[in-house]
Amino acid sequence: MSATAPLVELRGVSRRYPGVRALEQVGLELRAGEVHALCGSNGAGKSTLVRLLGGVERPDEGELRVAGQPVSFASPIEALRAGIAVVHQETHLVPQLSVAENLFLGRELRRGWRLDWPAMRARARTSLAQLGLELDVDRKAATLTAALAQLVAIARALDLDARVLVLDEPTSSLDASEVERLFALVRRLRERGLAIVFVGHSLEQVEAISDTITVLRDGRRVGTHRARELSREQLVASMLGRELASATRGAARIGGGAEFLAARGLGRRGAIEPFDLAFQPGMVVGLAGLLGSGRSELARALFAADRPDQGAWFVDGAERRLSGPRDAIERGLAFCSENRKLDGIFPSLTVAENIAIASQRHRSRWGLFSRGEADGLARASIERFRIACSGPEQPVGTLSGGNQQKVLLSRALTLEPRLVILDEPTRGIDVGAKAEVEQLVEQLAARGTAVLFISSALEEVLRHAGRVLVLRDRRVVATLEGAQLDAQEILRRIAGDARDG
Amino acid sequence: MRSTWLSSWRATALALALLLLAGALRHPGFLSFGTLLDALDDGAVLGLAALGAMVVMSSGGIDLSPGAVVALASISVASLVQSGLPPPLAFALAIGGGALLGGLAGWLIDVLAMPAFIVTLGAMFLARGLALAIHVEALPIDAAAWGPWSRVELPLGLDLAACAWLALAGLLALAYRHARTLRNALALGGDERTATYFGVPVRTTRVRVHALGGAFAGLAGVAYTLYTGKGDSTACVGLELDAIAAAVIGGTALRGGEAAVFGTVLGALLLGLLQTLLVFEGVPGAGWTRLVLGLLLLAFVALRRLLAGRVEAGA
Amino acid sequence: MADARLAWWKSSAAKAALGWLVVLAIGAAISPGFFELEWREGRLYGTFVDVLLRASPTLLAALGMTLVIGTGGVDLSVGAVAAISAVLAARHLQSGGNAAMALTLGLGSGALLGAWNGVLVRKLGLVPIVATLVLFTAGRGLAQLASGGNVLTFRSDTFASLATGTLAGLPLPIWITLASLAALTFVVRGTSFGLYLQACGDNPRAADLAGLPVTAVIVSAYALCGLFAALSGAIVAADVQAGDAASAGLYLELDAILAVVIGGTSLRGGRVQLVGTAFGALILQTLTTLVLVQGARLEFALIAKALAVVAVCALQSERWGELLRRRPRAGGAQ
Repeated sequence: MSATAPLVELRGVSRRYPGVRALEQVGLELRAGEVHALCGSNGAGKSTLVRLLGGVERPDEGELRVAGQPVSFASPIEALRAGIAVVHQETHLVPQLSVAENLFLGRELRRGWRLDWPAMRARARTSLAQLGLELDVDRKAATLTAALAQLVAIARALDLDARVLVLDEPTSSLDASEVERLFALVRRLRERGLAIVFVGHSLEQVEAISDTITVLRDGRRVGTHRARELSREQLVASMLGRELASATRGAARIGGGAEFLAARGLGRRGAIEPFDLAFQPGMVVGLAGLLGSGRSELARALFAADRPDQGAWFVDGAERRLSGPRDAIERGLAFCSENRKLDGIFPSLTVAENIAIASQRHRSRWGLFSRGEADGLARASIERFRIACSGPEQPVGTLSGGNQQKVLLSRALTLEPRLVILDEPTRGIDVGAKAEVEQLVEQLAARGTAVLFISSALEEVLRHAGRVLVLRDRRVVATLEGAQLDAQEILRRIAGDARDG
Repeated sequence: MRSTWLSSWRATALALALLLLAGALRHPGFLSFGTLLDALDDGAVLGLAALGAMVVMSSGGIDLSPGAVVALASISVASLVQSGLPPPLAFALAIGGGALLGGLAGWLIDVLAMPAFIVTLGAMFLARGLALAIHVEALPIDAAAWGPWSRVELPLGLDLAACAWLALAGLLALAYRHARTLRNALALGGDERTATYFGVPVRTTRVRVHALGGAFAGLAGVAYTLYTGKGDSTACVGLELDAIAAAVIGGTALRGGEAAVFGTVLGALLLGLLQTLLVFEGVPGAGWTRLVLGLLLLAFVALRRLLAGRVEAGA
Repeated sequence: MADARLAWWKSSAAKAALGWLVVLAIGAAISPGFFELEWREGRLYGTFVDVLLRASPTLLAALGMTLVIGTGGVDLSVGAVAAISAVLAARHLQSGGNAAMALTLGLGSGALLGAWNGVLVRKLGLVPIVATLVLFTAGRGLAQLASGGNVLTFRSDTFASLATGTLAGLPLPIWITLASLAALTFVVRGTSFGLYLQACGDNPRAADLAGLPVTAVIVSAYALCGLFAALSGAIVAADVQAGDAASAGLYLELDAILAVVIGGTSLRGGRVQLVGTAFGALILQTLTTLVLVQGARLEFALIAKALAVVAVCALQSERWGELLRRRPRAGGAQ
């Protein structure tokens, strides 16, 4: 690799949260004049790495070196002083403050007893102009588009004389021309000798901008490569596949019988392009695609958690308009969100309550809640899924991630749904729990329940799905079945080679 | 853009102008210089407390202690002056005490990561209890040293407290431009996480903001003593919520991030003039005042909410 | 079984109960007659009974408040609602109406006003503090208008018995409070509504995705809170045989919130601790009564309340600390 000494170096860095190993013995070298891309799927450890670099968190093990000297950042300010500026995902600016105010927040220029606003505004204009931005520096940050806010945040970092600029998923809310503008800027900064870390999940973007690529998976570094020495398919394979070579096709559940649920032209602007999807009993449909390709958006639209703005559902052949999750559940759908903490569990409620709550409406008579009945349900689930807990009365917030996931699956199943949507059910849980979740998918399909299975681990999708929808850039780009269901083929579609036109 | 307009002081000013117009149309004597001056004199206590509430709200917090701190400050001033302390020194002690209590509350909020609501509720009981411990009832001041302070003549015939209120509002507006602590307070109220990433010292800022809020409450207590010539440990029950109401009517968002100094002054003034107008109308009791006040509050928050869209609904 | 018992001792309700025992022990130590009971005219008398009786109005309002706080909200208007209920009941009695109708009027108005709060919170999306500040401000005005600015005295032995009646030797308010506690405990633990309520406070997004009727639950919670505030106001009115718009329910909202927090229900919503709330209200009243029977001045009760708040902060800070430490984990798996 490059002969120059690294500006920033991570050596054997580990970071653990209760029950989760976010980073395990990761090393990284950032060099001046180089764009270093961090790639990996959900839960790979990218965000944790960014937080460590930015001084938001500290490693449990290993060390961080800046210009060869070991450092420990107690706070983001110290990282800034050491020349590392992070533009965090979606926390760019304080919305109520103006552009100039944001640029100088926490380091305002003084003149005598007062702050020198004319000077700050002038300097703000200059630093924005250097980025090719002509912007009213008195505009409130809340009125800026995501792209402009991002550029302002970068301007702030540069004005701090940062030597290392970390961009955490900077392109997630930008359109193509805005991305191009950002990349032009990143290239100029690279020429100025900055070390730049780019976290992203669009392969085109990673290819277009990076000199070096580090792939993370499950908190470990899979490898660091020169960008031009790595083909797109190799990159996808190293991000997604644990043992892709040995990926076996499972039962390939294609189901049978009448189509009971179909989505026709369902779509939501800015989230997912219109898609068609149909389910027969016992069918397992897999979604494959990278982070941000629109997998969760598709699932949420199908469940009416985010109301689609076009298209329709057909339940048993009749057109229906689902008004929201409640309605969807009524029609036999159940949904396990990828974000257990935010969208799934009720942490202070018990295991029994968490499991019983969704089906409570159907079971209850005169609005009563029977604790005995809920405990019974819970005990059955605890036994069936081997949920490790002290009993039905344990608060769910105190369980491990894998067990929380099993509680959520149990909740969905008490609804006796016709279709279960599982969004990343195996994310962030241990190997044993993963195997059990996968087993469950098989059992469900065998009993005639349809499953929409979303996973970043391609081999999991391949093992269970009878049909796979490949997503790229918020669009379904391919529907594969039977003989087409092949790891290389899916990777090729995800990578978006010209061949699939 | 309409929402921006409504959340600024202009909407409050418009409401105030409409109120004055309505008053002038119905009562020829209403719209006079005297009425306005009286409204300023009468509004100083609430106005100062509302400024303190606004400062805390701008940082995304809330303070339930101002009413009790006003009582504590007023009774402290009265008893200190009665025991022979020069009034200016008593004033300083009262204001400093308010700042100390507020700062302590801010520190506890940050260290214990407890909701400001509960900590400042505790501060409220503490202040009220201390006030009663100093003196149970009203304590009129008759010490000789008080003489010159009992009625300070200022140009235009304004009270000292009213002048202090307006002057401090001006200073505060300036400080929101030029004092780093208040800049940081706005950032904290706007987005605490971004503020942290940008290097804003969160704890220091929170302590200072609450201390400033407490100082304003202490000042309001001094104003109360100047206005009534007595200290009263049972005064101003519920003032904290009126102060918050005045700040909200003035355009302050409870979510923080914005300071509405002039709006808050106008809000307090609006509440005062409303009372005056209802007296002119010959409406007995405070019932109508409270009702109209509540409706006004509702109108302001509901309109702003509807215009701002319901994006953050439920937050 | 051992587990369950251990869990109870660790629960916030148990902590609050322990707190009450400590305060009672102090009471017994400094005031020898504290637990002395006397049977007179078919009713028990004594300081301890007095504590229970005087705690009742706050306790009732605090029970309703517990539900609202359980949804992650707060209701500043319970004092004003209590005043409105007291005045409406008094007005009806003054004009010769019967007691049952007076009580119905009071409670009905309370439930309606509570539901209004719920609508402002859920439908208009206002922050609960601001949403209920509206009724806090306007409510007492409404009460004053309804009373014409006068203290409305009435004579109705039936209605007065709400506060002064006895049952099995104990004052009626104590029984009403116990019955309310039992009823609400059943509602929270034994009905779908109770389950949904705690779920909505615990994780509103998940509640939506699980298909729970969030709007209905939140509006009902505020309505129940209004209902119990009104009951509290009615009992106070029955006690003094008058409806006073200015003084009925003054400070009630703050005492109620304090009782809820001391009882261990988190202001962030989630699991509600009704029994804890009851002990919280008893702690507050016992402190006040103790100070009074000692002949000390009332201000010390306020200072004691302040110390109680600080103690609660300290006790619970460990939990907050845990929450804060746990938070990065939510996004930490990325």
